[in-house]
Amino acid sequence: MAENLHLLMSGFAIVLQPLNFIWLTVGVVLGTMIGVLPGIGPISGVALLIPLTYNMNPVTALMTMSGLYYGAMYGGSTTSILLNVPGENSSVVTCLDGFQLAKKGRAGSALGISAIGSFVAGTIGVILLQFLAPPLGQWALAFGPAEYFSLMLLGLMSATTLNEGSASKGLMAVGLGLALGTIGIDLQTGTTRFTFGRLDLLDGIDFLVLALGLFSIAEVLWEATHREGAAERIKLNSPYPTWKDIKESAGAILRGSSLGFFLGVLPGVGASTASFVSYAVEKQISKNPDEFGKGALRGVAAPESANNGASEGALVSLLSLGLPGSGTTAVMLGALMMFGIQPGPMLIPKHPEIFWGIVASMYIGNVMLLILNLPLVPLFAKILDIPKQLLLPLIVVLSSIGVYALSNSRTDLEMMLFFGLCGILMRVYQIPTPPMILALVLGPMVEQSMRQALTISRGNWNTFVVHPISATLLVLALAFLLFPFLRRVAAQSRLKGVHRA
Amino acid sequence: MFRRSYHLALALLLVLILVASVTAGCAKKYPNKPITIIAPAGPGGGWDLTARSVSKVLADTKLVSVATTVENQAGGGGGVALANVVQNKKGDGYTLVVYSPPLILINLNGQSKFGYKDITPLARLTTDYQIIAVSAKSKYKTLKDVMDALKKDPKSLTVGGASAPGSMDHLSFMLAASKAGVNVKDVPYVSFPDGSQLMSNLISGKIDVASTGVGETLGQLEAKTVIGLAVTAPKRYTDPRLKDVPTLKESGIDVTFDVWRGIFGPPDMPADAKAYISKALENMVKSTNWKKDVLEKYNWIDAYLPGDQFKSFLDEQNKALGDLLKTLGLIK
Amino acid sequence: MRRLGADRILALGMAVFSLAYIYSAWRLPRFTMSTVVDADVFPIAVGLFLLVLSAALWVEAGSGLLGKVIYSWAGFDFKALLIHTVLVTGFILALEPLGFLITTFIYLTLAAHFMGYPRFKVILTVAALFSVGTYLLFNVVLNVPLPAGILGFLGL
Repeated sequence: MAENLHLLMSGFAIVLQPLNFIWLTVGVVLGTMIGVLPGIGPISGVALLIPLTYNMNPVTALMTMSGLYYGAMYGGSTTSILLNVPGENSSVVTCLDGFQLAKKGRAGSALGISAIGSFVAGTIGVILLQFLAPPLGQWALAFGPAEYFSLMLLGLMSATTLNEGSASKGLMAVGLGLALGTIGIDLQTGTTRFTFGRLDLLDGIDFLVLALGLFSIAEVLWEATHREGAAERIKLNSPYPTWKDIKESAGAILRGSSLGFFLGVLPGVGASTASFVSYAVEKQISKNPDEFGKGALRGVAAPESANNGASEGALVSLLSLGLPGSGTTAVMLGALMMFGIQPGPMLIPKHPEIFWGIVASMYIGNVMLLILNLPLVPLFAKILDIPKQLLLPLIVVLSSIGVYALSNSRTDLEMMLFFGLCGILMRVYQIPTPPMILALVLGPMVEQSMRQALTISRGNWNTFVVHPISATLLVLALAFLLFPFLRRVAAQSRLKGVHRA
Repeated sequence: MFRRSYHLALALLLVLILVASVTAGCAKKYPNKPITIIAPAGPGGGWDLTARSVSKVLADTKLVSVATTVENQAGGGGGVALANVVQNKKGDGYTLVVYSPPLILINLNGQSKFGYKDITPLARLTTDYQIIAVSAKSKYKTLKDVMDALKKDPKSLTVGGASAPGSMDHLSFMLAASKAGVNVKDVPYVSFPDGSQLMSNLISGKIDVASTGVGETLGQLEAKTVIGLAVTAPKRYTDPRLKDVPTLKESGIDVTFDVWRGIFGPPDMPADAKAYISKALENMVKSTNWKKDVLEKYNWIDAYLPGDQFKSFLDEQNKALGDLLKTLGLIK
Repeated sequence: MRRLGADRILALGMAVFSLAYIYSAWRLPRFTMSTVVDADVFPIAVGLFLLVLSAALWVEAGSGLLGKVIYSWAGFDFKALLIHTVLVTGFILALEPLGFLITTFIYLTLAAHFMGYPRFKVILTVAALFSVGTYLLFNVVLNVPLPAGILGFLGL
């Protein structure tokens, strides 16, 4: 323990060297910027940094890269809240309530809470990373295909909470998302499915294309066809969150942070899944679930904390096992090798300065990001002063850049427009769009892990219940499904009790 | 106010266009603008590392007088980038692309109608090999143990890889197993979306055997969480983490499986550009920067072949991989 | 449009889609090596799920459970939808051949104009500044190439 404290102190000493400090600043500033800009996410951001780090020492480089990684999670919410354009994959769910809050003139509260939530999650994340990295890495190893299947099924159950109105329509949206997820090369057999002979569909449909289409493009087309209110401007009520806002979202932030972190530790789960799941959990346990989707502050606080938590959780398996859990950490693994450092279980014992340097830099980086992001809130909120007729075309261009930068493919842009038009139809017919997006994210993982598990068990379905973690998750999934129902029953019986008394 | 900024913007645009057309007007000899190296996948994998390493060494050694930038063009196992290079970059001297065996595989399995014959091989640079590994806790200690068990009952073990059937991880294991006399069609194969998930499932014993690129396992071999049973190389690695891992041939299976990586140009690449780049690559592989900063760090083996020899190597590979896919019944 | 009719049309459309999806999943080639669950199983299950939901919606639509909300095509300006869909389509198609700068400038100008923004000079200024600014930011600062198109000779 005392030794660790000593190591942490030496980590701080490394970070506070002027050059390192400057690079960390560059990392977090660039990260915020990349987060704000649609189309360029942390993966390409870290890749962009690589040439700059050629002549650095490895600690500085890794510090800068991880600064960029979690910095992007701070910025990602900005365009989601203000324009309904998700800046990153992991900020898709922030659109749901963030944009509604902005419409009500509470953009300041939403932006401020997401910055504070990111900070809290970042700090909790680094504390967990510092104390639990190796044991948590071992915990992640316990997750095999059966456990992943049950976990993803639990996530999919949470899609049902994103539902409003007709149950069959909400489930239809889930089904459509699952169907979209089957497009592309099947990982277990190599069979090409539903690509209509098109090369650009072989890797499937990126869910950012779907999200930008259903949210941003549909919003623009919708506004264009409903011109009555177009000229009115949104009044900004308060540029900063109030104490009431903070108190209201504190629970959501704490839950989102820890949930995000633990999900982030598991390879392949990632920040986007974590943000969706934490949103669903928050809605599920809320006393007023109906508020969600109409501008609930907790609907912003939870996912924005979760994606930050997840980005730090992903560092656990990279640093303690050498197994990158996300696209961004995979690029960081490549960078480590470039410095001649072999990522693996021996990394922390052999290069403690890297681990502790990163941990120390994360404490400082998160404070820097909070200081950087809070003053930006009123500034960004000013975007809403732009008249709608000018702003809406800009949203189309920003979304297009976001999609085009993914793979430089026109097909993706065409699909985005197609999904935009679908979004209009879905609005008119009152089919909810969020469950479809979540199903597209989780569907392929549900399918693949189910088939992996069944191949391993030689077709025995018991495999999902004999493994304790998997069984627990399945019970939770069931509970998730029944929870609203149970609560209604409980409320009714309480009501009866009151009457009797 | 608005009028002024409007004029300003227009003027700015005009000036930009003018300046640029003047600079573009005076054509110089090749190369006179930046060269793009396409990595046909996202950041982080072997293609990306190769493209970035080439770009870096060419810059450090000043073998190419202009800047080289890396562009990631992911999709369809490299097929999207291939179609782009074949269809849109014909005759362009400023686009290069990195490929490895999937270039041949996606053509053989019909995913891509284009193949190595449609682009210009400039140089083979490196070779990597595949490894067959088990968890440190496994009861199987040698490749022979594994193959014997599979010969007795092909379903007695689960084999995992980090890519779909018909791609390298799958093929390299099945090639070895079929040579050893295993009925490979019945061997259960699980594919994971990336090397991390493959390794964690191997370490924790969810799968019995992993077949993947050597690089994926180095960190685990070092920590002794994973044991290498065989590499598909013709001779043992000298790296301390790998020197105790026998080759397939030593284990009684006389095959090798190469994961070559090379640089290609677009179809009909101009002769001056082709000559210039070929020469630069030839000098690059001799440089200490290449040996120290790339080969040593990534554990890649130098496998330089100039364009024409690379071409005939590709012809052989195409035939061998085609035969293997037919044996496994994956193509007709 | 009355609710009952609209939801029944939706249910029918979804049923047709699910049948087509199940059919094309069923026609997928079989995997020739060892596998427990082939590539067609999950899609067929999803297709059946959607088929059941279509039936459920058909029933639900008739049951009056969904209330009597009328679908809001009311106040929907179809001409504007057409114009803006055409504009976005044009933007997408022209982006690669014409390049980001020109396409964005033209699109922003036309779209803002058709949205009904009155001051044309402001539109032109915003369009010019935004397209040039974004292009420089992405291509020069961030090194993420947006298409240069016919201005490619600029070498930016």
